[in-house]
Amino acid sequence: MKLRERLGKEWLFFDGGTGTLLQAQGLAGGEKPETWNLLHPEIIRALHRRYLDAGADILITNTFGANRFHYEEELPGIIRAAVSLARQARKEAGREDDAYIALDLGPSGKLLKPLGTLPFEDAVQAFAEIVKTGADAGADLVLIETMNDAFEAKAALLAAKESCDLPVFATCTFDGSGKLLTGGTPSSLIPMLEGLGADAVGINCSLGPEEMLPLVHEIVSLTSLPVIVSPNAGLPDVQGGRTVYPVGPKRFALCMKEIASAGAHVLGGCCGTTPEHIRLMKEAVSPLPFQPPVRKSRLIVSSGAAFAEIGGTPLMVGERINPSGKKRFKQALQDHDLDYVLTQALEQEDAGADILDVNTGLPGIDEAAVMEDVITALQSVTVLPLCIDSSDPAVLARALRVYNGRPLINSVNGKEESMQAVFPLAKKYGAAVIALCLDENGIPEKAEGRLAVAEKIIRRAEEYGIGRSRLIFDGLTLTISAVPDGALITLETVRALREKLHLKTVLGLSNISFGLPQRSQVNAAFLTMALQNGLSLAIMNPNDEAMRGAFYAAGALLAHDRQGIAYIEAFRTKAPEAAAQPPAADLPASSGPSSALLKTAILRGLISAAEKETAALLAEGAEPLSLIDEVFVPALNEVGAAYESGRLFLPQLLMSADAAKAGFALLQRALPESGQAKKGKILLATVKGDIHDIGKNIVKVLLENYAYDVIDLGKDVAPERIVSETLRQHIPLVGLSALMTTTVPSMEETIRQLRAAAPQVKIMVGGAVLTQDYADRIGADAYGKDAMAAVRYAESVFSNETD
Amino acid sequence: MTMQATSAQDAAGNMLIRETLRYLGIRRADFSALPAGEQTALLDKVSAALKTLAAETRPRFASRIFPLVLKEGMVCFAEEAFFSRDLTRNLSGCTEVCLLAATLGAEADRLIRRAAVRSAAEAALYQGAAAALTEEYVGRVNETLAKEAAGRGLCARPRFSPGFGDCSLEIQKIFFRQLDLPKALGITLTDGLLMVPEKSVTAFIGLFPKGGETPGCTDGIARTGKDLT
Repeated sequence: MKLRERLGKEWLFFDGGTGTLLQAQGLAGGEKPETWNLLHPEIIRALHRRYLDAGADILITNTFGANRFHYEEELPGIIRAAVSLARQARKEAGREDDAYIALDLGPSGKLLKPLGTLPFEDAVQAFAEIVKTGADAGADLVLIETMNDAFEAKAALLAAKESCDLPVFATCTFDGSGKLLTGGTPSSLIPMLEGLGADAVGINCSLGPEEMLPLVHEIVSLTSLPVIVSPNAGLPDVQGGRTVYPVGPKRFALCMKEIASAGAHVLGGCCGTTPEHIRLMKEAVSPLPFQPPVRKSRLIVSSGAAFAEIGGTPLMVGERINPSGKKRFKQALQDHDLDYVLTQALEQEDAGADILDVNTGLPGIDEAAVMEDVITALQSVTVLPLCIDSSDPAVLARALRVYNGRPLINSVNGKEESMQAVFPLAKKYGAAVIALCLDENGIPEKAEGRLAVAEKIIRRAEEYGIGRSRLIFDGLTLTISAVPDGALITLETVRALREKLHLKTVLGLSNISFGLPQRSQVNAAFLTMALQNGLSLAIMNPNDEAMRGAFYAAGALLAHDRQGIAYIEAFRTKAPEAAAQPPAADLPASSGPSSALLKTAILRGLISAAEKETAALLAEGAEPLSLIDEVFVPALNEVGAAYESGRLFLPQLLMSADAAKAGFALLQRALPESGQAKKGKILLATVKGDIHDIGKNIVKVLLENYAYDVIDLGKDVAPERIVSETLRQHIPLVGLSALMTTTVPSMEETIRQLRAAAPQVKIMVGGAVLTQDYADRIGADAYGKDAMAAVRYAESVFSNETD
Repeated sequence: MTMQATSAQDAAGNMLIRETLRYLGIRRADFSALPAGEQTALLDKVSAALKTLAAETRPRFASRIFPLVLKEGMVCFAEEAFFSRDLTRNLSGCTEVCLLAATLGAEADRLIRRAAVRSAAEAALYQGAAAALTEEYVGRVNETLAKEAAGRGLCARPRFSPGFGDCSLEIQKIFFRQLDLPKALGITLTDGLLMVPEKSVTAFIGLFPKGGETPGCTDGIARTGKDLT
């Protein structure tokens, strides 16, 4: 009988631990267990046989660490041998009809970008080659297990789904606090795995059955899929110098009975379990009535480490990462200024956003590429789930692929073309989808018409295998100055979507007030009404105090926020920013702005004072360029000199840099065309293989203070890319950083390639392990012992240039 | 009791602040020379960074003890053997070596990046504070392991990390092999031999018999954990 015909209909049992048993047979601590597929095939085959005889239905191949990061050309042979040994054991045991072979996929041992260095697609490829080989050798299913990073689990699952038609099981490893080592929880992980098309999901390793029980309850409440549970034989203990797992077969079986009753469907054992554990477990569990998985209609979107549940307490979706109508944001996207985008994200998160909408649609840029970069950058600093906002299916496709977590798409609509483009993507990547109640005939005037479109969308989504619980319907906000009854119809639509069709709802609110004065008052009132009518998601500006107030107040009034805890948390008087900044009163009082006050503000690192004084000076008609020459640069020189002589320290230098940066941003805006104030282009990069970029970032801030146009390529940058960007952007000065002795060779190689391709370019280097001597040896023009030294060198290079 | 606990916490807190300042390049005398207002402002910021990091990170460690043989400048334990003059000197007289790894986890890296988005000064503060927290944690783990060894009649040498002296970073691979760090702690090693998450430490701790007693270590005492007892 096929596995798919039995899964979720009867108890199924995995085998148990391998490592401990192999060690008992002589596998050494640092030895790679998979080599035994070739070196000691009889031992591996016998181990499988013991588990089959104990009653296991599914054998796990000895391929946990069999990947390209641990093996070279011998890899396919090891995988094929592993599958073949399991097959031989199954044949010997006469269980070819009712036992299955799971191709085991463990973690790669590498951390994926952006936190680590392994590119996502490389991880996908690495897993795909294992799956292809294993499926070809005759595995019956793929088991992705012991995953401790959501992004890697996604890579493995995508690879499995793209490379074979076998059932795919996926289990993750949570620690005692219920988290992955990278921070995910069952609530953030399980919806992602289910969305990506796993056939069964669950938990294995790290914990014993007793510690796993609460997590099993949580997982069962989250998923409609069969749930897998494979605990260790308890938490390991050290006794007499040996690692001992305390839960013996009898107690294990007893605990597994409880886990089975909690709603698990596929049971097995991990580290420390033996054939005897499996035999007694099967004996204990088999007589229990089997409860098939129950369909759930919860909707959760997630990132790698956090989640948001849609449909309960209303959620705030921050709308600020979007260029439309925002000059500064457009400029940031054009300049690839990701820092600005990240600032916008953190501001919204601080204001209470639960999800961030991300839109990078701007004519003249490569929207898909920018979207990918923005998502990656955002996911390295925030754990908020993101809402991928684009009308271009190609952009959605790329974003959905690189997104870590369970994504939310904004949006599909009732037009056939839109549904045909969006639903296959939503299906493949398991996304939740915002659906606009409009179609080829435009926006229906009345609520009934919008509901009819919603019903059409639901029918079409179901044809793609996307259930209605995954859709969130937008009742469509129309400007009241143009459509006087617009708000009423929208609110009626929201109510009817919820009450008649039991759907989740969303509105982009701000459009309601277009063309009116004091728009946030109208927006806030509309938001309150929409929440009263059952809105699930409010797409809004979290930084707008009136709207934010309305959001939290309505939450408390509608008893979503019982006892007003969220309200109190949001509006409890916070210590003013003065806690982080010396009081502004430190600046001498004066009747009007003066350049002396600005200089003091920079010297003392007072950000808001520097902004205020710069703005005041500009308002008085000061020339931006002369402010740079007469105030900013002299102030920074003074701070820099104090730092170099040891009178000031790095934090103070950087506070001054921050203050100067804030003022400088105002100057930039005051100039007719961007770039005019810039003295010249400098390219910075942390070299290939190196991921420590704090030093480079400090150099960048200071160079920008001195009005240089800094092209920051980031960290772990290949020499080829540094060369090509240097040539493309006609860069006169390149700064390279490397922190480790192991990455200096990569710096040397970069210099070699730069010299060959662009001999006129000056190169400065810096980093903890470098010295003047070392810098000379690898052929750099200058060694910067600290950030100020880099500035001094840049000043000398560019003053020569203009001479 | 409460009073004592509080003052012990204060002492630990003060030590962390001092260490953070040291990572920022500020010595105690330098700090004293700052105007009072700037001292307070700096201390507030350092405390805030330490507090956020302590609240949001989950430090953890793994360790394993092996019988040790030193011969002809080679360090030999388990199936490993490598040359390092400086490590051999550190371990001379030791009969066992403890391999220790510890990390603040991925959350620390994310918090440092978040700080960097807000401001360069804050990034430097978080960097320093995270380094201080890591060292403090490793110090505590080291102390616990040394106490356990003392219970077996062994004394501990100061810890020694790959990258010190002539002990090359290649040696990191031994820690990854013997402690299975990706699985145990979520630490991974890049091709350039850097550990990710960044705030991670590996170290050898040599153990030698007190006053010539022979220790009774069998092989591979392993442990992992978060909370130290």
